[in-house]
Amino acid sequence: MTAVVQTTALSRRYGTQWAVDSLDMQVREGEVYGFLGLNGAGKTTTIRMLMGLIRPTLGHIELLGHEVPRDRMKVMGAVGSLVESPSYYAHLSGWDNLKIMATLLDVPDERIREVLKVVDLTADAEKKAGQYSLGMRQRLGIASALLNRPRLLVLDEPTNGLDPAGIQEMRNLIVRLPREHGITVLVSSHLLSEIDQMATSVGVIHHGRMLFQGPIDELRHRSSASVSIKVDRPAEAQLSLAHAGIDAVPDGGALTLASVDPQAAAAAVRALVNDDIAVYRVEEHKPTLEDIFLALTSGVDAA
Amino acid sequence: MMRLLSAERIKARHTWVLPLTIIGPAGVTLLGVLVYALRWNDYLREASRQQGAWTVLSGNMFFLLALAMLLGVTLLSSMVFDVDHRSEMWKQLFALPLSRAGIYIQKYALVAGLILLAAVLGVVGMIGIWLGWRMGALPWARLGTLLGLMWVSALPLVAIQSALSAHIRNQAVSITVGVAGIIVALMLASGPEWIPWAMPMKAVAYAQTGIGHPVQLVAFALAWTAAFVAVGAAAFARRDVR
Repeated sequence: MTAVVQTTALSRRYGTQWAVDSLDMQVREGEVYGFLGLNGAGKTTTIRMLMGLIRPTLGHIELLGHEVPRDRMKVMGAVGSLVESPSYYAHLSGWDNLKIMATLLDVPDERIREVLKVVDLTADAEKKAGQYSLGMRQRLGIASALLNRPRLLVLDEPTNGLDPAGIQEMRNLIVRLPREHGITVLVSSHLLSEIDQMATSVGVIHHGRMLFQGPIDELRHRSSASVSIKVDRPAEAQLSLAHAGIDAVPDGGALTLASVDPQAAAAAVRALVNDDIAVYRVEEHKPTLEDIFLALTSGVDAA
Repeated sequence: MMRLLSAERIKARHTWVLPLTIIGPAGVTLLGVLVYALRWNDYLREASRQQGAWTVLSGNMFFLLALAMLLGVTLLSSMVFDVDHRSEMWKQLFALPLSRAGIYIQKYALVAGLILLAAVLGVVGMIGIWLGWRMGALPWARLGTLLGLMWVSALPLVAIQSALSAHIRNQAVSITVGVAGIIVALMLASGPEWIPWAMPMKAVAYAQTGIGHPVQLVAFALAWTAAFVAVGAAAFARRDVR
């Protein structure tokens, strides 16, 4: 698979602060790449550099094999973007807004009709964009980004400010695009649950650095599940388990087993009961992506 | 270039860009008609006979024409750039495979074109008054000089105002500078040719009296224009987009 986006040591400094610091990003063809980070982590700065809106202080960017910003004229025809809040001419209709972009991109009116249909704005095309709801403006922005049949679509926080129904719609649209139109999507968000529902790959950025990049499943596998056993006397219980040849780590009033094998849990309980230790509760603990994200980011904060 | 211009044409819909371009010269013409209608019999007829119709018409009208044009330069430059500031469209436009310097120069050319249209309409208004009060054969050469010099003398100011309106988001700044420029222009009416704000007054004064240095004026105007547009476009192309 070829890389649609490839950055090498991409960095941007504002004053003495590195907003983006040695970022190596790789987005492969056909992916929905979730670019995840807290507000202020450097997501938008990165995306602005990808779009050639601001210059990197250091590092290289390649979009679809072309170096940006040097060769941006060659490649930007195949890239669509929605950066931060959607831009629109409030005094013009949705149609006129798209017509302006279509004129600049040299795209026929037929394509305007198509993208209006994709984002379900056909009925409101003649209404002034200033009267659109936030969700409609967002969809107008996406329609505009789709006009040139991009191979890469970059969406910066596309669900920001939308109501639940709008978020759902946007999500469905984003998931559909690679499947139906062969578009690679780079979507940023500060909400993990959102990325979780859309993305096939994920990049986690924190304080301008990439903490993790890879398939979202790999992120989940990173922290494996564990079994914890709550007992009345943890110290004795640990000895008892050690005696039975079972590894366990004390964790407050509980013991955490290294293995999630049900047989191991059963053996541990049997050993404890035999040694007359009261077992209050046995539970499997599965870290959510939220936990993983927090663990990833807090590790950096501590360091 | 044509694509950029037709995109600008759509953007200008439902705005004051075109109405203003027409209202300016129309207003000046209307004032002229009023002056001639009210004062023809008691004063202007006799004055035109003694000093010549051109001298009287130009003495009454050209100053106003130049003032209206200066105001138009300020407002039109501001509007043409502000439409993309207000809509936050730069970040979309700059992500398109378009030359940024091209976008800038095209907007500059648009304002220059609108000012030319306004100047033509202003001259048409003068012709209307000339014909309406039967002042004789039309002085085509003088009208042509008026039109050409007036327009060329405005080009450096269009470049200055465009640069301000493009680079400073808050249009209060460019409009303040533009209005202050009009005051400066009034004070510099007898100043040196090479100062951009002196040029429009110099231009109409030459069209009126035939006194002045039109060749130097045009040369300075074109040189300033080239310099300001080049600097403005280069800075625009290098700009970080918020």
